[in-house]
Amino acid sequence: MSKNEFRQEIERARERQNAREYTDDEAEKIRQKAAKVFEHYESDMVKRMSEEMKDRMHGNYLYR
Amino acid sequence: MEIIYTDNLAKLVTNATLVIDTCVIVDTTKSPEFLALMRRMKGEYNAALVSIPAVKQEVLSVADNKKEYETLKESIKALDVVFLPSAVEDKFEREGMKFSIAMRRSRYVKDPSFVDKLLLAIPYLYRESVEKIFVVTSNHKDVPLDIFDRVGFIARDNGKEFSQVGIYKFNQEKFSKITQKI
Repeated sequence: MSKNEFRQEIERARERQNAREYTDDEAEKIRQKAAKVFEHYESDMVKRMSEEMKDRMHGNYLYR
Repeated sequence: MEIIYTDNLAKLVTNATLVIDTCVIVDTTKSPEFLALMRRMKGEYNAALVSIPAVKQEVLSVADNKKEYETLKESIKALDVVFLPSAVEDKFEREGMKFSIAMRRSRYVKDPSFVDKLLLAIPYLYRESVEKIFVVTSNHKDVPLDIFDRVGFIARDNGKEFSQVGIYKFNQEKFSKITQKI
């Protein structure tokens, strides 16, 4: 696969997802809504989450 | 909210393919500045943000009703992450043996999940098809530093939470060393 082909593959996948450009304002409004979903989730589910899932969702800040 | 990143960030991400992990998508919902920075990577620096469907599902698994599900789906769309089709899994099936063994041999990670393994394998699987490709994650302990180099980072601090997102590059030399005598 050439370098160009990989980028084209990404573009094709993007088209299949029906992607569209969001303005900064639109993106910020959606972010605020999504943040609330995570607040709800964290207030409840995090207590029941496995360590592995916590890492997957929130990362871990290990220094090396 | 403060965002700090390494000086090389613009150079690193320009025309690059960035493989985005679940925690990074979650992080973008927590900070307008971080979301704006990630969106700039695409808009201003022409980077492609890619991931795998399993990562999308991990984010969506947080929703406990339809409205939340749609909200999260839209937030992922607004970030413009492209989820590479199952072709990545097929490619891993065909060409991933060495990478799988390398992960097993790594002294940095133990029992990586398949999502981690697949995500980290993308720079290896596409190493000849793309010049610049990096894994972007704050899940540092799952990145084997005997296969990858951390080449940059973005830190965000809102007084309550302090998060660091690492930018990791596959290192062919390290990989050859760890996969000697397989």
